[in-house]
Amino acid sequence: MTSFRHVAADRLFVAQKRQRILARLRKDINALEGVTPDFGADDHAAPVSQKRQFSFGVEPLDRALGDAFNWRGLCELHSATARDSGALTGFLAAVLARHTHIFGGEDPVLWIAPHHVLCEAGRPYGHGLAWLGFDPARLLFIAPRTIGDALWICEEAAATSGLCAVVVDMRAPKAGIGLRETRRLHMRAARTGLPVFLLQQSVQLAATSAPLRLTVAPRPCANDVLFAESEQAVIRRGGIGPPGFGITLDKNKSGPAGNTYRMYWNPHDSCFFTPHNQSNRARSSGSFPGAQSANVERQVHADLGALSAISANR
Amino acid sequence: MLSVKSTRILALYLPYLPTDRTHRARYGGKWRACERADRPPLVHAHKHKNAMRIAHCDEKAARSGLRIGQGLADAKAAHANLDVVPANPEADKALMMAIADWCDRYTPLVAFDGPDGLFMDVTGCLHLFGGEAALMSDLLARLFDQGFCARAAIATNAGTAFAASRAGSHDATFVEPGAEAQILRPFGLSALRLDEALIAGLEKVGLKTIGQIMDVPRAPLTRRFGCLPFMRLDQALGQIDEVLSPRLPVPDFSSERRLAEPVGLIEDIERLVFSLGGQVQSVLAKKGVGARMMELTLFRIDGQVSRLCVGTSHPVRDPETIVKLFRERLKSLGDDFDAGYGFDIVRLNVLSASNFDETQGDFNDGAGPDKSHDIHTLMDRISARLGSNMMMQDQSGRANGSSVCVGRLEPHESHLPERAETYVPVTQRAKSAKPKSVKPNSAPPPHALGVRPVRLFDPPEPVDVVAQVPEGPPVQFRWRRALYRVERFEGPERLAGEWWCEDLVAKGTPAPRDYYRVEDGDGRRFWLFRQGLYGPRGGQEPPRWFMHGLFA
Repeated sequence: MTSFRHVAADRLFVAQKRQRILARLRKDINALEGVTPDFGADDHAAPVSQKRQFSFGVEPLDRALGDAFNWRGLCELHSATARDSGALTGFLAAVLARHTHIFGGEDPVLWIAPHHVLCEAGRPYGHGLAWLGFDPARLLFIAPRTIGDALWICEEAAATSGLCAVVVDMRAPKAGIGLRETRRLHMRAARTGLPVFLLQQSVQLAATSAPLRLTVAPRPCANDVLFAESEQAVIRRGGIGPPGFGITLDKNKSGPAGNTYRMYWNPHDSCFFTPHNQSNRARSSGSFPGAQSANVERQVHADLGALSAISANR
Repeated sequence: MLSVKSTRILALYLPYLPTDRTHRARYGGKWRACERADRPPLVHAHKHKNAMRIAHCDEKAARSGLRIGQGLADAKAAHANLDVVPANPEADKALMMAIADWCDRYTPLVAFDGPDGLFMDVTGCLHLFGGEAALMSDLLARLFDQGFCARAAIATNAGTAFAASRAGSHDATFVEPGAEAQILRPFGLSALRLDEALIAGLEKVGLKTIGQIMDVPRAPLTRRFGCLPFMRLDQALGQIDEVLSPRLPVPDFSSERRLAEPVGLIEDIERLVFSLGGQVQSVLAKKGVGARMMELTLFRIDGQVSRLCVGTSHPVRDPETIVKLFRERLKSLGDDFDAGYGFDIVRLNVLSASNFDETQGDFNDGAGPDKSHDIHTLMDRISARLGSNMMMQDQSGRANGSSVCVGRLEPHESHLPERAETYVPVTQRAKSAKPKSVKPNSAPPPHALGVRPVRLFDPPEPVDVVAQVPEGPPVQFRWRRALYRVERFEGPERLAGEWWCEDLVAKGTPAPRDYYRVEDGDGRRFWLFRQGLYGPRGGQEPPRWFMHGLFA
């Protein structure tokens, strides 16, 4: 009898010690990940909410942005010219799709685009956004007449709960969106924790109060270019390839700035990948989602020959 | 036994409206109070039957013997100091509409009666003014202060009221129910709303007063002059019903406040709107509906009426939201909002309402329903601030294209990419809202269309393309004055024209489009298409190339 009691007591003691060690380990991990533990919870209980971090999946970029990076507050995305607006919009759609993939939710996204921007760069197309992985049914679209109205709407929306993100798609006026306006937007957005994306096309870089500013440029990414830098020697033909972006960190409050990172987008798994890290690339027998009929490959073979002949004769 | 009809119709007649407009413009609204004896008679002139004739006279001119239709030269010869002003029918019409707007303070059922009269159905509002006599004296006094000469009559039906106001001996006439025949007897035939030719014909046979027509046997007169005289007579006597259609739709719910002291500040108006909203809320709650379109009517002391409309995407009942929406609307007016000397009547109308889904509140904060309520309020505030102030008469909720409103993208079945998607305002979508099905989170929504660009140009922009004829892909192209060399391409994807759409077929059989997805050396991707076919199938025109979109 007594031996049983001793054994039970020993077991209890060991269990308690294990719990204490586990709790301490959990606390350390949470501190490293930046998760605030739930006040009032028991020490041996896991934290109530596992906060997930946004990550691009591209290591150098994630390291530069820092571990506790979340899209809260104002973020500026630029493109050098108006013809790069496709890459800019595509990158934003990819980021929103990845945000949804990590954090979940079906909240709507408010897209504000003054009228003259729609004439120059085209309007956002729902089927194209769906092809990149972002559900266009979540889009609330509004086209105000002036930039002042657009900024007012953005400010009011940044103070509203229930939205996933606010996107202001604009071409900056000559005076530029300066420190004052961006600071005001950032303060409003940071208070509610809402990401506000300021897309500016073909603008000269001015001072801004946003904590993060990226410049987006397109990158070619045919399969032969993609595989050229990897170990795979087989060069496969088959069309244009996944969307590619060259992201330059112009301003980064939480890390180094100035570097350019090349990455490609995989809509099926909602993740980015680079030529060096192909593990996230979509595995499907050579065909990219949306590649055309079987005639494409043959036609590409025939005409790439013709193209190369033309380019050789240039 | 026939029940006595209890409707009371007020007919208002402004005999000198055009000349009163000129006098008001010259001397101000209170010109009748400070009448000057040495003012010359005033006439309005227009060209009629190839001569300048008198269109309208004022009282002094009418007393001196001038008549409408008289030649202007004769009139000027007879009265050397005659004051002549060109006639302006549009301004007269606008003034009549402003007076009809102003009469909204008595009753919402106001109908036009020709260019110089109004019918008002005052059946339900006599008690608000303390009886017919008080209403009439208030109306005539206010019109006199504004500078109009007015005559009015209240009767059970419109015909009698019309006749009494035109031909009656007093400025204000009250016709008891049942006394119509007696009142109408001595009046002339012009009080029966008959046209000139008919009146001349009746006078030729010796019928000059309504009493004579009442006594005459009907059949021979109807054979000669038609049924109109007797139809008008029966309408005047109340034996045939006459329906008045009000000029503005009557609101479902309404609440108003009459102020002893006029208010002009926006904060005071907002407070008034809050209290009116509270009154309307109780009425709406009893019926189980919420307001979708609301109108705030502000009556200024000097007669001008301002109307502010707001619409919402979902039914609204609580006064705070109503005040928020009207605050945005007032801000959007900005400098256009002129209170003058103040507003003395403020009225909140609910123009359209729809069923209100009651939700049971719980003790959690920040639950799901609150979020969507916030978004709805935000969209309504944006529409109120930046949208148009027009009252959307169309009950199906179609917003006009020029107003700014929040919308969603809805897919549409069409071959042409620019028509494959429509922009639907949120207000319309909320009316026909189906519960959104929950989609799986990670998979992109299924699409059967294939590769599509992120940005679309509408309409497509023409480009100059070098390509192999007839079916070759583009090799290089010039777009917006920049030259691009195609490194890679995918395609073609043929989208046939829509032969079943009438508006496209009217321009000829719609040509098919061959779409190419091309990439240049820098990695930019474009969506080009060639419209039309080479050879005899393509018709006379050679195919043309267009730029339709940009890819990521």
